[in-house]
Amino acid sequence: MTDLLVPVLLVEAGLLLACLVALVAHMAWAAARARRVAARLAAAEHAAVRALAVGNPDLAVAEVSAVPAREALALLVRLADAVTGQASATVTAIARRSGLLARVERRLRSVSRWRRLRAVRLLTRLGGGEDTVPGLLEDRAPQVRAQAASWVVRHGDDAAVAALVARLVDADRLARFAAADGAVRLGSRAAPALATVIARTEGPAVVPALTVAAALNEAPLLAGAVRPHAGARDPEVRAAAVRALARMAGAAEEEVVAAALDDEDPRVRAEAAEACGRTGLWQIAPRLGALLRDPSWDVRRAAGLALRGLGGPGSLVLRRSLDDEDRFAADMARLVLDEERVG
Amino acid sequence: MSVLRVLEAVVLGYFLVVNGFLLLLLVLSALDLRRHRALGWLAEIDDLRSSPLAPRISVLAPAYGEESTIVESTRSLLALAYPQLEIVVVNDGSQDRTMEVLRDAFALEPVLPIYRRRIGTAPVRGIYRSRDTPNLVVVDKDNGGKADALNCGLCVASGELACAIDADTIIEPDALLRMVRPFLESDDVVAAGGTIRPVNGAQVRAGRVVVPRAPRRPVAALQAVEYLRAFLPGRVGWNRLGGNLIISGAFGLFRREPTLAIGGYEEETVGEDMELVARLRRHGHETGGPRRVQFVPDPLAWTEVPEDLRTLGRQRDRWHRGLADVLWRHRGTLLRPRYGSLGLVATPVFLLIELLAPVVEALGLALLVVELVLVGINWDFAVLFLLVAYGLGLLMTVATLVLDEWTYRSFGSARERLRLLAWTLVEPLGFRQLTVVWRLRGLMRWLRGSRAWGEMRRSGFAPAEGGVDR
Repeated sequence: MTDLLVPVLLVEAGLLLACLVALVAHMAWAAARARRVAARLAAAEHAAVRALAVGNPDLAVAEVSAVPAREALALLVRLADAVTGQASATVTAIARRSGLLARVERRLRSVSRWRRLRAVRLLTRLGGGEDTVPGLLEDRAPQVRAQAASWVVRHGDDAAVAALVARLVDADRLARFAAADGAVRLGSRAAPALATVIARTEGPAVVPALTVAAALNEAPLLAGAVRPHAGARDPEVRAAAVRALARMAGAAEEEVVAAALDDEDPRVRAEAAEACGRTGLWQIAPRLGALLRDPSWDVRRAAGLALRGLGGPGSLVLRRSLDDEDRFAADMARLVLDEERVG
Repeated sequence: MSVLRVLEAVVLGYFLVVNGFLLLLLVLSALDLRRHRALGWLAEIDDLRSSPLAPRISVLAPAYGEESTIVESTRSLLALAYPQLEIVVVNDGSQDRTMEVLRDAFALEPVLPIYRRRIGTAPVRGIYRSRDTPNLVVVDKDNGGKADALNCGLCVASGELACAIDADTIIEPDALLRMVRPFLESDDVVAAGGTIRPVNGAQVRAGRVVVPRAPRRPVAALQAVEYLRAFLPGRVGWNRLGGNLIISGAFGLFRREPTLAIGGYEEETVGEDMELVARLRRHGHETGGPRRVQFVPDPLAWTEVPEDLRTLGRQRDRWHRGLADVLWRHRGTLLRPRYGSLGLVATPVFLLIELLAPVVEALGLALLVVELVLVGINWDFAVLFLLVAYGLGLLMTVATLVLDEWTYRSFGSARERLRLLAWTLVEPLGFRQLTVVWRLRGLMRWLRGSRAWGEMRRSGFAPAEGGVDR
């Protein structure tokens, strides 16, 4: 056994030495690189700011090209984050004319997903990639698809926007989230494509699209596509459809919202109750009062808060409910009135 | 004599298994760090910062006797960059001026929110909302312990996700933006943890760490080395083995609905954070719900660590009692395929490598003494073995420093990392052995049925010694 320990100890010592050398060498290299690059980086930054001020990217190309690519890209990203409009276009032009954009765009074809991801991130901040990035909405890596969605929000044309909206039914959660977030940021630009997706998609897969619809105030374009989903088989879909219709169209969808108050699923009833309060459908106050007796606490709470939101008619129903023989209804009415009183 | 040989073989075999596993974790963590670096590099955190679709997070901060730090901690929470954020501070019957200090600093007004008391807790005296910052809610309740306070916060909170922290934890401003990412990537994630660093020695201003520095005092500095090793390879590596059993109580993010469904934190244990994670994972396997625990390696939070051995000893004693208790409570998952990696990997590993480690180390030491007295020692072997053991521990820590240098550079400048390197050389010479004693003591106390927490002496945040608060 003792004989075994000697080579083990030697291997350990070797690995330890290698780690120590790697650690110290990396520190020294990083410090030396920073010192070496500092002057050129400062000059490049100065030139870039001057270029932005006068709107002439050529004033900075030479200095930026003299800096190592990593630092140059970091500088341009920092500047791109700080400016908008014409200044952003100037930053993009500096990146293009110094060859940095072409270098980054080549990485979009890398077999490594992480290199593709970094490349799309850079292009999202700097601009460029109009011919290549939209295609990455179909990339095999979900992180790349998600990042491509962010690019589309900032730089995409209408075709790219439609492709982004189509990703609302992506199999990957992150890609769906990025598409939904992107569609919400795009606002009305996304509405036409969104209507198509909602009309063509069935089942739970349509829920992200309905969530986006709820965030966009585009009833004329979307209400027609959303309305059929209020009668879907899946309660999650029905709830999302009711939420979307109420937020988009308000009192105009009274019939759909009122019908949903009797839905068999408590999630749908709660959404419908909340919708009534938000849209001011005071005629429904008595039915909301009945929902204070609902077996689901979430429905009772939504009904109570909705009644409060209806003003006079709702408050009347709440006060009458204080004497309800159903103690859950009375309790919720009291809680809502107490919250209103105290804050 | 053959009994001695058998025991020797057990100790040696255990040594090989443990260190082999730790090396495996190191390799796995290096692979996972590569992925995290790519994901985190220039990540669109800015977009998430203003996203209306980001899941709402309620930060739960239980407080007991925190008058010296509560305002700064709360301000740092309010400064967190996250779009849908709610801060719920739960004053757990503090005997000092914690509540008064909060009321004065944040202009609190009484409210009666409609919430469902799904978990029974000690009575709530009042709920307050800040007039100046409406996303701050303060719950004033009778004392019930940390778990009870967290459960109360869980009920009052309104977020889809709940972030449990210690009241004196300082969270990096973009920490939630980073820690929410696993939940955006998968519906199967039920909890996520982040990296904690000791704040002792750092410069803190307005509830933020403005100059990260390694601790200067020996006890805290040695813990900084430990924390680095525990989090960077220790927890990151578990991402590739199906997920950890530990999310630090100082900073963890959970799905609120499953947490409420299982009854929240268990009060009858001192390892409530670990017990919650185990129960959440178990519940996920039993119901087909979310069950994965992800660790986000970015340095996200800072916490004060004990600076004296007595307090540290009590803490480590409590942690080991907590570990023993959790493993005993969830012994039903051990080696059962139904529980996936929880039953087949996490529970056996924590039992064999974490819980029993101090027992085997103590056994090894006892064997040494017995052999010295009875049969004499093979000094060549003994010396070589001690060198191998020391070297292996050193190698693990230095490799961790290399990973940290390559990725996050947690303690700032190169000088600080070199300072930590110096402490790395010292750590295996006495400090680690002390932790074995404390853990062994904890195990003995658990076997005798002890549930005491012990008190932690806090010095509060202040500018670092000799530092200038610019």
